Formats: sequence, C-alpha cells, structure tokens
Amino acid sequence: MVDSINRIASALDTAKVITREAAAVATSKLGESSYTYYSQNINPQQLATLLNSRNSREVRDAMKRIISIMASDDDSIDVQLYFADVVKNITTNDIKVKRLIHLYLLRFAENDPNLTLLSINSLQKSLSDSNPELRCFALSALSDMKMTSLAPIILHTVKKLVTDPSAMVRGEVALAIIKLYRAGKNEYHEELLDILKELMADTDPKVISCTVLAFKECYADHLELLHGHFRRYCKVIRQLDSWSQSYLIELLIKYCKQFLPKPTVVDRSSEDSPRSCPLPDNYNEIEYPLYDVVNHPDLDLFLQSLNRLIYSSNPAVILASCNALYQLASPLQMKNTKFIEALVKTVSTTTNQGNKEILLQAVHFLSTLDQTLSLPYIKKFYILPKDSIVASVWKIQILSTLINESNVKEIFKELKYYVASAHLPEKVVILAVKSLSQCGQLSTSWESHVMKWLIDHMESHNLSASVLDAYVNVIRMLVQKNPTKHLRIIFKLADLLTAQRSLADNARAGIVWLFGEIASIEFKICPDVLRKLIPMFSDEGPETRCQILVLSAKLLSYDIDNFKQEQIAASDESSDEKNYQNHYDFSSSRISKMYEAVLYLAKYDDEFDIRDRARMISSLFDSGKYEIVSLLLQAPKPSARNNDFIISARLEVHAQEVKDFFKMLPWNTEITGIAETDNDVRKGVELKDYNKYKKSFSSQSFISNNSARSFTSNSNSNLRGVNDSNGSSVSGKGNINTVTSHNGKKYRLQSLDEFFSDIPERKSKSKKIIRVEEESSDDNEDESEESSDEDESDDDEYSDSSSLGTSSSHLEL
Amino acid sequence: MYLSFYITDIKNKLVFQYLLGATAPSFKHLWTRILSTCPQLLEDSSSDTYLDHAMVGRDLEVYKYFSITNKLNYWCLTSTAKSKGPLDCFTFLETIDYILLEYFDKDKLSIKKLVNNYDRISLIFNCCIEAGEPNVSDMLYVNKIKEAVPERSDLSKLISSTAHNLQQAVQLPQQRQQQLQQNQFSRGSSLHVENEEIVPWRTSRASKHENNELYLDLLETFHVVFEKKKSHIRLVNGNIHGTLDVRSYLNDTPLVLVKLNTMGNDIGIPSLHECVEINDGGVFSPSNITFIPPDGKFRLLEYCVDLDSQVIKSGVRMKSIGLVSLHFQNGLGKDSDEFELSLNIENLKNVSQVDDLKLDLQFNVENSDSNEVAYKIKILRNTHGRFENSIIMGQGQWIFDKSTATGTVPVLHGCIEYETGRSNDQKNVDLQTVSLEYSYVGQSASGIYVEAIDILSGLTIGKNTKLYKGAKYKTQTGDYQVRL
Repeated sequence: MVDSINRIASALDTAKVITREAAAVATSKLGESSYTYYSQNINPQQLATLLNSRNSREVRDAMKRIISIMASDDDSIDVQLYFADVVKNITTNDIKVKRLIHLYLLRFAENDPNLTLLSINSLQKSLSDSNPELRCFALSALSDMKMTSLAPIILHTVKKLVTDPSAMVRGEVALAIIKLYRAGKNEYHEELLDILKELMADTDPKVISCTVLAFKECYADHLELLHGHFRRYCKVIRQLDSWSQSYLIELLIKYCKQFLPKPTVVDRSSEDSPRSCPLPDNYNEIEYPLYDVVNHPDLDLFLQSLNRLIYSSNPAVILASCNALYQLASPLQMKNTKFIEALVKTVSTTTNQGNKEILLQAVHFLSTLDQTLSLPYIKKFYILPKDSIVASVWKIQILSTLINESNVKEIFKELKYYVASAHLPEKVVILAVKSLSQCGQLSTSWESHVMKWLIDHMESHNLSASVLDAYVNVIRMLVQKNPTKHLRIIFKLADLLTAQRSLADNARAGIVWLFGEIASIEFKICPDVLRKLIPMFSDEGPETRCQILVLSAKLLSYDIDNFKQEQIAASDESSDEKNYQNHYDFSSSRISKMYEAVLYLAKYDDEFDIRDRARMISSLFDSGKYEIVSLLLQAPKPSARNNDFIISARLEVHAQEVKDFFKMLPWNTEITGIAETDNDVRKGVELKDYNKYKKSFSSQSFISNNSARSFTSNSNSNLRGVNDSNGSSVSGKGNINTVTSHNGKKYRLQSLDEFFSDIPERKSKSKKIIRVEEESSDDNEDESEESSDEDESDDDEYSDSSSLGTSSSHLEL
Repeated sequence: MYLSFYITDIKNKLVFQYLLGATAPSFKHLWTRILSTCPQLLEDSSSDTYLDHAMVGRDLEVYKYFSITNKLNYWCLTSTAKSKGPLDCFTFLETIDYILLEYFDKDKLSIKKLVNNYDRISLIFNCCIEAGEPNVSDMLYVNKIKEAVPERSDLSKLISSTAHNLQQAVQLPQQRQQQLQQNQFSRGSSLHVENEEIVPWRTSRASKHENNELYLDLLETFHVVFEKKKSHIRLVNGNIHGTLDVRSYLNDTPLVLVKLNTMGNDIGIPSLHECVEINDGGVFSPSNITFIPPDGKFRLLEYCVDLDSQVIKSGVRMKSIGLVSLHFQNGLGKDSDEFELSLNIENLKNVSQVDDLKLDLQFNVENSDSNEVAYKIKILRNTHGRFENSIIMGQGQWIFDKSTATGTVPVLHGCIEYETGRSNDQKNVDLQTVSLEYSYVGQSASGIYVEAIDILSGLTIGKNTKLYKGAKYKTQTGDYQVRL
C-alpha cells in the first residue's frame, strides 16, 4: 500500500516537472509580450467592435489598447474618436475597466463635455454603493472631470459624503475639495471651507493627511482654523503620510509664528544677574554664551513632536523639520535634536542628484549662519571620486564656510589635493582655488602660505587659462589686503612675469594690474617691471597689452604726484624760489619716456579697445589736468571679496526655492505673554470619530494597532493601549469621544446628537443592554462636556470597560 | 500641482507618459519646448551646465530624475507654487520609481516590462496622483496599489501551484484535510476583520501565500578615500551606506522582530520604513526592530556608518575596509621607473570569491602637453587579469575575471617607459591614485549582521505550511580611492 502511494507520488513528481516545463513554454507564448503583440494588432475598426462587444473580456482588451495608445503617445490612432464607445462602458461591473475609463475621462472629459455627461448617472449610482472603494472611485472620477457645469453636483456629493463611515471616502472628499477649489468658482469657497472644517476634526489619520493637503493647497492663509487642532495634530503627526507630515510642519511653522509668543532667551552664563531677551529675529544672534530658552508650552509640544520624525525616510520631512528648528528654535536647541546629523546623513546616502544638490545647498545655507552646526560632519563634505560636478562644487563651498583655526590645516591639505589633481573637472578645481583664499583670510601667515603654494604650483604646472585666472585672482585678492607684508611674494610675481613666458594672457594681465595697484605702496620696483615688459609688448596678449598701457599711465601719474609733493615740500623750505620749476619735466623723466613708448605702441595696436584707451589716456595727460588723472588712475580699489568673482551663477548661488524655503518668517509681535490659561484658543475642539461604525474590533487588529505605531506615551498595559492609540493620544485636552464599540448594527447616517450619545458602552453582549447603557451614558456624556477635567478620567474608564467588552465578545464569536 | 509625467530611456526617447488633463502637453510638445527654452536639461549629467529642473514657460517647471537602477529618466511637469517644498518633485519621482520596482517585484525594470504593462502603470500613476498632488491617503503604499491594481496572475504560476497542490494532496491527504478544515475555520473567524485596516501599509487582503517566507537582504556600499603616507595608509574620509531590504510573504498579520548586531558600529540616525515601531523615548535601537511587514518587497531601513568619527573615537588607524587591501611600491628597478601593485584578498569563511574586481590607475600628467605622448605604461608581470591602457593620457585599468578567489595575492608589476632622449629630471611621472571596484556576497563590510528574525505573534502556522526565513549579505564599493 505504502509502496504504491510512493510510486504514485514519484510519478506525480515527474508529472510536476513536466507541467513546470509546459508552464514555461506556455508563459513564453501567453506572456506579457505576446499579449502586447496581440494588442498592438488591433486595428481601429476592431477597436470599435470590441468596445461595443458584450463580452467583458473584449471590452477590457479594447480599453487596454486605448490606454496603451495614450501612454505611448501614438499618433496613428486618434482615441478621441471612440469617446462615446468608451464612456458607455462605465456601467460595466469590471472594476478594472471602470478605472481605465476613468483614466480616459481624466484626459479627455474637457474636450467633449456633452458625451461625458453620459457617464455621470452611472457614477452617481456608484456613490451609494456598499463598497467604500467604489464610492471612492466614483467620487474621484466625478471630481476629476474638469467641467464647470458639474461643480454643483460634485459639491452636493461632497457634502453628502463628508460623513461617510469609510475613512478612505472621507479622505477622497478632502481631495475633491482641492479639485473643486481649483476649478475656480469663488462662490463655492465658503462652502468648501465649511466642509474642510468638518474634515479637520476627523480622528482618522488618513483623513487628516488628506485634509492637511487640502488645507495647504487651498486655505493656507486661514491659519486660525488650526487653533482647535494644533495640539492634536502635533501628537498625531507621526501617524500621517510622510508627504502630509512635511506639509503640516510647514503649516505649523507659520501657525507658531503667527499665534504663539516669541520664545525668551535667559542668560545662564552669569549667575548673579539673570538677564533675558526675546529670541533674536535672525538666526544665531544670541549674545549669551550659555542660555536657556523659555518657550510657550505649545511651541514646546510642536518641537518635541518633531523628534519622532527624525527617522523618516522622506528627505522632505527631514528638511522641513530642520526648517522648523531654524525658524522657531535657538541654535542650541537645534544642535540638541540631531536633525542636522540626519540631514547630513541624507545628503550622503541619497542617490537622487536633484535632491542632493538642494540638500547640500541647505547645509551650506545653515552653515553660513552657524558654522558649528555642521562642523562635526566636516569630513562628509570632502569630495568623493564619483561625486557629480554640482555636488562637488557645493561640498567645496560648504568646506570653505567651515574653515577655522583648528581645522584649517586639514582642509587646506584637502583643497590642495583637489587643486592639484588632474582628473577633477575644471570648475571644481577653480572653486577649490577660490576656497583656498578663504584659508588665507584666517591669518597673515596663512595668507603668505597660500600664496606661496599657489605661485609654486603655477610655476611648475601647465594650467589652463581659466584655472590660472582663478589663481591670479586669489593671489591678487590676498596681496591687496595687506600688500606691505607680502613684498617677497610681489618680487616673486615680478620674476614670474619675466621668467614664465608661457603664462596665459589673463594671468599676466592680472599680475600687471597688481603692480599698478602696488605702485602706491612700493613704487620702487614698478618702473623696473614696466621696463622689462616693454620690449615684449607686441608678443603679449591683448589683455596684458591693455594692462601694460594702464600700468605705464598709472606710474606716470604717481610720478607726477610725487614730483609735485616734492615741489611743495621744497617750496615750504625755500619760499623765495617759488616758481622755480613748477612743471614736471616730461623730457627728462624715464617713466615718462616709457609711457611714451607704450603709448606709441598702443596707438597702432590691433585691438580697437587698446587704441581707444591710448587715445583717452594721452588726451588726459596732454590736457595737463593731472588731478583728474590721479583721481581716475589712483582711485583706491575695494579689496575683492570672495563673492566678487563667481564662476557660474548656477553652480554657486543658492537656488531660488532654497532661499524661499529658508526665508525667515517674522514673529507676530502682538502676541505676548506665555501664560494665557483662562482664554485658551488652542483648546481642543469636538472631534468626529467614525470608528464606531466599524463592525468589530478584533483582538488581532487591536494588538497590531497598539504595536504598529506606538506613538503614545504610555503603552504599558495592553488595555490602555487601545484607548491610547485611539483616544487620548489624539487629543490632548479636548473631549475624547473615541471608544471602540462592538455593535452589529448596520451603518446608517446619524445626527451629531445621536452620534455623541452612541459612544460609551460597557457591555456588548446583547442589543438590549446596549440600549440601556446608551441612555444612562447620555447623562454622563453631558456632564463630561461641561467639565473637561473629569472628562479624561471618565473616558479612560469607558474605554477600558468597553475594550474589555469587545475582546471578550470577540472570543465568544 | 503636477500636470504630467513622462518616462524616457537614457537617450530621452519616450517610454511612457501620463497626462492629467486635456491641456497637458504630450512628450513631443514638451520636447520641442525644452529644446527651445532650456536644452541644458537634455545634457549629460557630467557636463557642468547640466540642469535637472528648469522653467519651460510662465509658471511651468520641468523636473527630471534619473533612476540609476533602472536606467530611466523620469520627468514631470508642474505648475509653480509657493507652497511647494524644494525637494518635493525629485522625491516624488524617486518614490514612483521605487513603487514601480516594488509593484513588479523586480530588481530592475526593463523598458519591455513597461511597454507590456501600459495599462497597469497608468493605473498605478492614477493611484499615486490625486488632484494633481501625491495621493496622501495612504495610497503610496505598494500593498494598497496592489489591491487597487491587481497583479497579473501568470499562467505558469497557476500551473505550478496546481501541480504543487496536487502533489501535496496525494502525499499527505490527511494533513491536507486537516489544513483545509483549519483554513475554513480561520477564514470563518477572519471575516470580521475584512475591510478593516490594521496598518495602512498592509492590506488585510494580503494574498495568501503557500509558504510563509521572510528574507532580509543587507547591502552595504562603502565610500572611502585613503591616503598613503610614506609606508602606511590612512583614512581621509569615508562612510558605509547600508540598506536592509525585506521580502516578506507572510500570511495574516504577523509582528516581526529583527535583531541586528552592529558589531560596535554606530549606525547614526537610520531612516526607517513607516512600519518600524519606535519606543516611547523616540529612540531606535537596531537590536530590537519590531514591525508588521507590508506584503512583498520593501526597504526596512537605510543607515550610514560614519567611519571618520569612528576612527577618531576608537583611535585605531584604519588601513583598509572590506576584503581587499592594496599595497603599493613606487620607484623600483635600476632606473627606479618601475612600480608594483599588490592586492591582498583576505580569506573569509563566508566569502569564497570577489566579483568584478577592477582597478583604475591614474598617473599624474603634469608638465606634458596633452598631444605629446612622452611616456607609456608597460606591464612587466601580472598574476591575474589583464591591463588596459586608456585612451585618456595617464590612465589605465587592471581588469580581473568575473570572479577571483579569496585568499589570493594578485600582483601587477609595471614600468613607465619614457621616450628616448629625455633627461632624467623630466622623468617625474608616477602613480597618483588607484581606485578599486569590486563586490562580494556573504558578508557586510562593516560586519553588521542579522542576529535573529523572530515572528512574535500574529502568524498562524499550520502543520503543512512552513516558515522560511533568512538573511543575505552583499558588499560593494561605491568609491574606493587610494591617493598615493
């Protein structure tokens, strides 16, 4: 017996192998590709036939074909020709076909409003379907038709469905509000606002998620609507969809700025005289080294609620939280929350280039305000070999904001490596050079160190013109700041000009210009430099030629001035020889001769610009108004700042959206005083809870509900857990009407009074008892509404007992 | 507000488009618009004028996201709105890419897959976008989407499962009977939770699986830069980026506990899937990760080990990471123009081979005009693989076979041949950086491993259904550079 069974089993085993093979063959024939092939061969006539077929499978094939045509942007068949054929299929029972028709209508309803009306009836019928998904679908399909004539119908539907027992449908109502609002009819805005208010009081996180979106999109200015929900939203924020979380944070930032008093900063550095001041308007402007911040309790609540979002996988949430801390908290608080660490982590793990750029900009923005924020993560901003140009550029910019005495050695080394490495893109190298100047600005010794290194590197390497330009720019900038201290470097530059003939034109021009500027401090060397330049004038590039011309003019102007001053000095000494030699002797001055020579050369230059300048300068000198000459040529130049030479605005300037995002909002100065207990605007308002419509609350889901999102503060006991996760955690102070109940009743719409009277139930064994309980609890509820203090404890009791009841009843089932 | 979405291949040829209204432009129209207003959008990402978002009209913006895994470009056209966060569009496109991957349960989406499933993908987009915004009513969870857009049930799946059932029915008729009864029983009792949502990311109607399976995949990608100073190697900066992906095919609503042993690594602030529970203090501990998994594939957590701070804290000088360490000698031979590279591939119990090992050698090219070839690299001896000179001056690659056994010490010995007639002091070419690329399976770079996978509650295991669980480890290099 056993033997035979074994035999059969082994036979079946081989049969299984065979069937598997057959299956493999079959899939290759009946797989997706072959279906696509079949589908693509449906011609326009067939398409119409299939759409009018009674066989639902054929209709489905036809719809799939139509959607494929739409999705592939195929011009060969105009799918709008089948409008009527498509729309009339909306009566089908096949949900997939319905959804496909929805896609079709979403796209084409506007083009043919009359035919679209064909589908309205069937969709409206679905609105009262027992399946919430169908109701949801119907509402979404109806509201997606962008037809103004339909607006009243949709508004009516929305009003009806706002009390739907299914959270999914109520969420869809919130989304329909957005669509209606955008349709542009101002007359509906008021009514829609009322519906939104109702939805805001919902207890279901899914509905809140949608409502937050609708609020943000349509009524973001009506921040006062958040009064009654502020505390509750702070507590449920973790339960929301991650997109809604980021929207809600932005909304609550605005709310806090508008309705909460400014935090006070209390000095803690000196014990004897406690000083305090309001939080400064700009970030990081607190002057006390040690301080505490006293917040309004509601602000504390909001900031604390953010802590739970630190593990979010949506970078938008992390960024929004950082913004909240930036806007509402002190730098010290920000450091304590670790959100910067999360931000930096997101930067280094994301593979999304667009996000990476913006996140790096955000880090850069924050570190320009407060270096210490990102100092601990400085090595995260060293360039990695595979970083894109944009990322590298922003990393270098961040590095240059973080330079200080303690890390300059290391950063300098790293930047030096970037500058010297041949394989990095040119823009990155240029930026690294630029950042070197930031190192140089720390101290004089670093200044000369940086310059020395740059000049050495310039001498020994074959650099491209734009990189050299950056070198010279940086050197120029550093020298200009403190010329007397860097004479040795200046001498070296003079050597460079003569020795390094291959130096690019722009670099030479920059150095020549520098000598023109140094002439005021160290005149002695300049004529010599000019002398050496003149013989090679014709070999120089156009920029250098121009600068040589300017240099010669400058030198002459200085020389004339010197002469005059000597004259005055001399005349002071011997007043009797007043008009002895009042005029500068052009013919005997060497500088003047050099100037003449350069001018002569320049007058016949190829470049019209140089010829022009030569004429201008010569006419100035010829007219003899040397004061004007010295004003023009000796004007002190402002020392260049790092921002003055931007290589590429796109790479170096914050994107507008980042600027907008971090725009500091002003605090509302009218709100003052931290304690305002008597007139609490943020007192929780009545909530709308639809949980009681649920048929049962099984023990299984109860466990998971408790464990899945343990956002509650105390979940020590399982029984309390139910209550926590549904009730008290949701509303801080408000009336808590959230109790899960077990009643096998079929859902029907109830009035608000019925709704409140229905909630507390202690036992749920039979219907009769329930009714008794309902009556008795009616009074309780009324009382609890009057005194909110008792309310909480009362509710705890109710829920404890009721959840006991439910679980026991479930066991009985 | 989003107006339309497009998916294109790398060459920007349209694969799929989803338009949210009659006024939304088709990709052809958008294309001509982009060409005229901002062609930088179409440039390669390595070019420095490249843009990933731009204005294409008044109040109209185009965003572009390149999915590295799928080699697809995702585009969206949105209207400019003040309330839009700077990250929203890119993140949303990334999310959609991820949803498609999870929906089809693939590691990589092929264009063919997209073309074959136009209807399905259109429906997925329809689920994800409502009112021109991301659908926040929990529809961005793949389980929800799967419910709304059912997967195609393959014929092969049907046949093989029938065969399997048939076999079981014969082999164990009695047990089967029992199980059937059990099934009926459990189905009877579960009627009440139907339609009721337990957690938003898992539907109560999660498909019934034949076996209960739960697999973890730990993938670590490390980015490190080392610097050679005299004889020893020092870490310049580095981090390890780890992802823990889960494939869960469990029936009912189980509560799963995963214990991760971090081996003393600090995983910082990981980003977690919504399903992970966080205790009251709001602090996450990797040794106690509890969650109710969504059905199918999902990313449980993503972390980043900061090697810099770890090195500072421990005070240990980090010489290498992963399995392969590099040794290098310059200036060998009688003219001191030879160099030797040797790799030491550690022997590990769990890892038998290293895959796709490749070294990029970068020589400095200073003082030489790019058009004048002054030297060339000649390989004298190599124990493994082959050496390729690159077209770009001063670069070469040492490429290994598909797999290299662990415990070997490959050596590359080469010299730099200068053109004759060069004076000695001009011979200053040497190796500047070496980059490594490899991957291996069986161990994570940081040593982090899964200590335990427990199913705490919620799973009813019949006598005939088995529970399979396991963890897999993979390490790969993101950046591995040694500066010499």
